[in-house]
Amino acid sequence: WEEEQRKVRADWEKERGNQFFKDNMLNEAINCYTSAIQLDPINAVYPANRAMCLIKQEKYAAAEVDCTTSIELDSKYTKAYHRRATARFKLGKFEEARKDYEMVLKLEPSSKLAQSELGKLEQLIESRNLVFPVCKREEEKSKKALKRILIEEINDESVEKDQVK
Amino acid sequence: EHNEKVNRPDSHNELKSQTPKYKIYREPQQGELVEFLVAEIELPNIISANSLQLDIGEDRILLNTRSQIYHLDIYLPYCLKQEECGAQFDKKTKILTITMPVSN
Ligand SMILES: [Ca+2]
Repeated sequence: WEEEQRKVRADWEKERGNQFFKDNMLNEAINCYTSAIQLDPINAVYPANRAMCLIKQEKYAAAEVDCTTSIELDSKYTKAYHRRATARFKLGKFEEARKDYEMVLKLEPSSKLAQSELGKLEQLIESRNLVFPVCKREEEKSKKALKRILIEEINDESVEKDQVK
Repeated sequence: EHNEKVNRPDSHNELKSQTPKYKIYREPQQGELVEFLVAEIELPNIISANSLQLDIGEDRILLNTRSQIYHLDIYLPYCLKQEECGAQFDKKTKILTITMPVSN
């Protein structure tokens, strides 16, 4: 009976928190969600909602922790993955953010927002480590002789079949 | 006979070599220090590595193909360890991957 009571109170704190969030009163909202978490620590919604506030406050590391807690409580909670992706992106954890977006799309394949965010992220990841050729004046070019490189062939299906026999 | 003519590739176009699509990545992605570069070159019209001729300079990649389908000659803003470079041609994806350690 007491447990039920606590859950009802937790839900009430969450509703208050949601109202504060709408009014952009983030500290008040965070306090409500914190109360909700203390009253009902196994509900995945409360830490995910607090994470939403923390992201708005640009406290991305704390938001990431809350999202991870939420995901541990409910591994299919799409919003938690989406928010963690946002937080991880801001923290520069691009590969981890990519995995979260991929999880969002696994759970919700039609999510246009996740699709476009994943696309942007992938472009960014790729461009970060791209190297572009340069134009060199004659005197800037290395004088060392070229070296012929042996090219190994891979994925040769005919050879693979022979090896199986 | 007529069909044969239509399907035959234009031999004049084949003689004009084209620049293949390629990308070069640095590893590791972050930080000041670059350990090696990886070039991925798309060669959709190549059947076998036998028709490829790859030469690496200290700052240069030079790729030619036997039938002059592709030609690539680029300079890089890094000093490559020529002796330690390796290359693989994937016959399925038709991508030539070159791994080039960088000396710092
Ligand atoms: Ca997030």
